[in-house]
Amino acid sequence: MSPDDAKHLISRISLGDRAAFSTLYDALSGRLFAVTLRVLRNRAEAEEALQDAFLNIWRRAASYDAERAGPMAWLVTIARNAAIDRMRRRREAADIDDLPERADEDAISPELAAMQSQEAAGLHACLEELTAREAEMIRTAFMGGLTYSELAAREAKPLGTIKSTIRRSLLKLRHCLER
Amino acid sequence: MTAPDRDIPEGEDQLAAEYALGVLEGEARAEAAERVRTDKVFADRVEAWAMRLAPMAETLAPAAPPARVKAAINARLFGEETSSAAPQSRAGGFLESLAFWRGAAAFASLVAVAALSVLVIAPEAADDGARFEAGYFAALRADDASPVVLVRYDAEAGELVISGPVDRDAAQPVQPELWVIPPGEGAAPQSLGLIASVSGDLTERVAIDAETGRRIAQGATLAISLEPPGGSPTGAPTGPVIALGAVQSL
Repeated sequence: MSPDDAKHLISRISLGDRAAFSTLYDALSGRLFAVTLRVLRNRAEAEEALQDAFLNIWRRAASYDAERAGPMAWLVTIARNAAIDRMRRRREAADIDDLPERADEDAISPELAAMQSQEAAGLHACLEELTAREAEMIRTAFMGGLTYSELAAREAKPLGTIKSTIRRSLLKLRHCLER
Repeated sequence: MTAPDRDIPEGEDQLAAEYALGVLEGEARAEAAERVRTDKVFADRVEAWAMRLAPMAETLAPAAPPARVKAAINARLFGEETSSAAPQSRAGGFLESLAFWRGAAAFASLVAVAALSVLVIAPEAADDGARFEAGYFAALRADDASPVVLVRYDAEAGELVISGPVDRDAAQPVQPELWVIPPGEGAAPQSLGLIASVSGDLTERVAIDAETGRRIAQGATLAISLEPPGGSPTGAPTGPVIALGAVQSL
């Protein structure tokens, strides 16, 4: 599915078009399920989060602004947020300390690189400009939904060190992406 | 070290980035979340960062979810099990064919209200203000199969005339409310007032002022939602949208 197809479907969904919603689900649920699975690392929870994500896609389609965001970026952000919401509720409820694995597995395969959006290509190029440690920290925080203190515990580093690494990396990313 | 951006305060953008990345916690996160709700500029920065970072998640290897997920989504949004099992009777009324909207209402803190363009707007009146007075109408419905509610503008009386089946479920304490959604991205619906149940050949009239009448003529969308008695408590549609359609000039 091309970005234009996805944009068109989202705009149809904003009009209450259930057939478009079904088509979008069939085409992209696998990619969004990958996101909720990656964040939650639990199939049952990832399925629930995927449900939440599609409910939000249905409800928020009218707020999608194609001028400001590519459709995949918008969709995966909704999926990631749904997964992180679930993860935080679980942590608050049970205080489970099952931190996700390292981020190396998020390195992209050539097949997927071929279908990535222009924005994705830009971001990956900019992540390459960070030091390996900075890039890994950003990826781990993003894909694992980890907070500063969770990152600090995981890396066994002082909180201040983690914060300054992340902040420096974000600043570098922005300057790189704006070039 | 790169030079700080001249237009954006560094601390602001950093906070937006941290919030979008998800690393904030506790009070800092709660404060940032509150600002997203109340500060449009900050919210836009967070959104921009979310979109910058999102491509990291675009390239994960897809994993097919089991079929039950789609079924559960349809059930949660549309109350699907019942509507596909029982064929709708056309005489059964407007609401019966709209079970999905009611299903959605159970959790819809936000009902997506948008234009279902069932009819094409005829734009030729746009260059001639006087012709707006000639009137316009909108055909409102929920989906391709549902009956049409017609809304006509009576310029002389300054009223919208609503005809067609706007039933309401007698068992539910709800009242239909008419909304106008101005043209343009993200425009908020504005209430035009409550309407009584209309059925058979009865019509219902809602008075509007001339300025509102003119604004509606300029390509707005009309919608009807079901609200608590007395109307929406929030000033925005809170209940299920039972019909909507684009205005077109006569």
